[in-house]
Amino acid sequence: MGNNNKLPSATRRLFLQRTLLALGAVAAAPALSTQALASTASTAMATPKLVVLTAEDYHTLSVVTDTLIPRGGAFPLGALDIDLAARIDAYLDPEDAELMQGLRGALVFLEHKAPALIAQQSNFSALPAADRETLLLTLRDAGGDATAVFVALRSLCFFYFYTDEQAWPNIGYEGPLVKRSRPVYPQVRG
Amino acid sequence: MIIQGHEIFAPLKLNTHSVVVGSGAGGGVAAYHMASAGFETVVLEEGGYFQAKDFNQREEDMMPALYRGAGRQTTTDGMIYVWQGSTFGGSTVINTADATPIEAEVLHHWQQKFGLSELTEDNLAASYERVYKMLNVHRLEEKILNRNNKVLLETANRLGYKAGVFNSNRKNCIGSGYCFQGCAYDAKQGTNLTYLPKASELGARIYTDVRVDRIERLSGKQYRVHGTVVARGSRKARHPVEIDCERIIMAAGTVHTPAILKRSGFDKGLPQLGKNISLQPQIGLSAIFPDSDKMTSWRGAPQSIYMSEFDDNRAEHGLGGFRMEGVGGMAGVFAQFSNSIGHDHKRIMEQYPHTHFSALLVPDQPSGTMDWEWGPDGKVKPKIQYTLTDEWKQRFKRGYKTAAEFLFEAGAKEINCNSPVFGPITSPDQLSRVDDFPLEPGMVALTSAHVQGSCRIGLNADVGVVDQNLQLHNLDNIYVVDGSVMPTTASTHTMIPIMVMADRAMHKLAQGA
Repeated sequence: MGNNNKLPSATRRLFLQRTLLALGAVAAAPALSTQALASTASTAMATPKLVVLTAEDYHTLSVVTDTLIPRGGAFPLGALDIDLAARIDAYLDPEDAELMQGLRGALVFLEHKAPALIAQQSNFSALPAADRETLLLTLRDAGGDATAVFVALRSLCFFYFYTDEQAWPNIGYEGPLVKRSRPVYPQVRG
Repeated sequence: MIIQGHEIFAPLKLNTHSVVVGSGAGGGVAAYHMASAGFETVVLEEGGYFQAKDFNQREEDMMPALYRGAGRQTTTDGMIYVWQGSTFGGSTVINTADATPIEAEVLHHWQQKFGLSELTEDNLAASYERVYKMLNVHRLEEKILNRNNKVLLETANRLGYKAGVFNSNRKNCIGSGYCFQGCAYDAKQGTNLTYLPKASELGARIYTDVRVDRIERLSGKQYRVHGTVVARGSRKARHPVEIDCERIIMAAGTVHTPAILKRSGFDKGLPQLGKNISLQPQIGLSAIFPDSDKMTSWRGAPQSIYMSEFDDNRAEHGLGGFRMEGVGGMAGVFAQFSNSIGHDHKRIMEQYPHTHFSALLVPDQPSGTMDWEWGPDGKVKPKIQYTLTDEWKQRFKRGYKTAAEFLFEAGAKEINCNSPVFGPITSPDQLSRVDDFPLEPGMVALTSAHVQGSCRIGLNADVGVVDQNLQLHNLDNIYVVDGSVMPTTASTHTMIPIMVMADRAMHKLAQGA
């Protein structure tokens, strides 16, 4: 079964939740120490004005996006060039509590817990690029909640990267035939 | 008259003869027939009112605006995305405008297995004629067929396989390719451009951004519909709605029609409510072709050609086998079609122009069930329980292998799919890997665009929710006219089947028959 051979079937059977809801379970599971959480707050990365994400969320998500869509290779543009994490922040619905819980859970798990899966002590965002990619592929092949984290973050990043007009010339896509902004929803009170 | 939610500033109380819940394929037809017959008619649509000028051909904007749950509605295990429109015009706004009839073998199956003797080709003929005329159904024009779809037809012809070009409900289509995001040119003839405007001209009042919560049975033959004006986008509750009426026509879709009936307490005496769900799951395939063979999947009619050699439609089981259909027009969704990340994934996406996309459709037998929870704000949370059967899994794998062989024959170099864990197939001698395809939650993302069956037709309440005239078995003057009435999956695309079934029942009702 290709790269899926390593998945223990019992673990896979346990993975029976919608991806992002499963992430919520991850978030609610092992409590992280205050020190561990605080350690993510220190970041050299400039933080743009955010709508939904915290600075910590943004920092980790930015590193995730860079790992999934690095600069160079088949085409020069990478996720950091378009500030993909900020773009995702702009599209997240702050009132979708389940989604936000799931996303936060995924980011916290990835940043603090997941590196142990490849015998690393550092936080995810402090790992070299090659180790970060190795870790994400390990999550992919691990099954269970680990795969759920991988799938959710990958889906989110790929969707919002390849729907950005800056990505289109790099993949030979001309883009829409109409130039219109997002539809404006009527604002009402009461 | 179309009244949008933001134009309502206080609790709403109305009296009318007929209330139509939902404005998609079934609701649009029902509204038109009721208004045509002179019945005072109110249509309630939970989604927003959008027009061509609002459609910007971008997935990230249009899916939240037009799709139920922003396109993230899934089965409870997360394995199957259940796509439904939730806007003025319902799914007829976001489909690919393919017009397929109820297959003859399906009608025979319904007659043999369920005793539905009234649903014959002859009895439906007049409805087809009316619906096809209203929607301008015709064979797709050659000029809007793209290479992404044509490669299926050319390869099928070379192999001697059955294949064909879809009939479609378009008018003056320029082939922009963005059917899934709503038509920015008013070419797709959904109910938003046909039945609903005509119903409005005939006096129907159409309210958008109004969610129906429950129905109360009053004394005599009266009902009261309880609903809520919601804010567009967030769908937060704003004002209560109460509408007294004599007749209710449910067309809120397979997921939400039974939810409203259950919350109204009408499930008592209807043991089949919320059961017998068909999802007709499909998987997206991508096939990378040589650089010289540009597919340009995003331009032209996205889903215009089918390869039907392996259809196995019979009176014994209805739809069976599997088939391929071209798809296109969604870069963000299609970027998910591989198991790679990093530079490997960028290499795949660089080849987007010469990557072919198609769907492998594998019809199922009704086996799912539904339940619902309601939040304190009245929002319903559907729980779609669905387990793939072993028979379906085997047929899927046979279909996957056949489709991959077909695509290699067409010239493909590498085949991927919408699974984050199943790696690419780069030559026919790797097809045995499909035997171990991970058809498990989290390992693959299947899609259902044609959920059917939660209120199926049956001869009595023990076996069905509605009768052959689509009236509830246990209550007078409540009808169901959406995909939920299908006893088994009706066709590979369900807009026309829903409209034809609705037309037959509503035309009879309007004529007093």
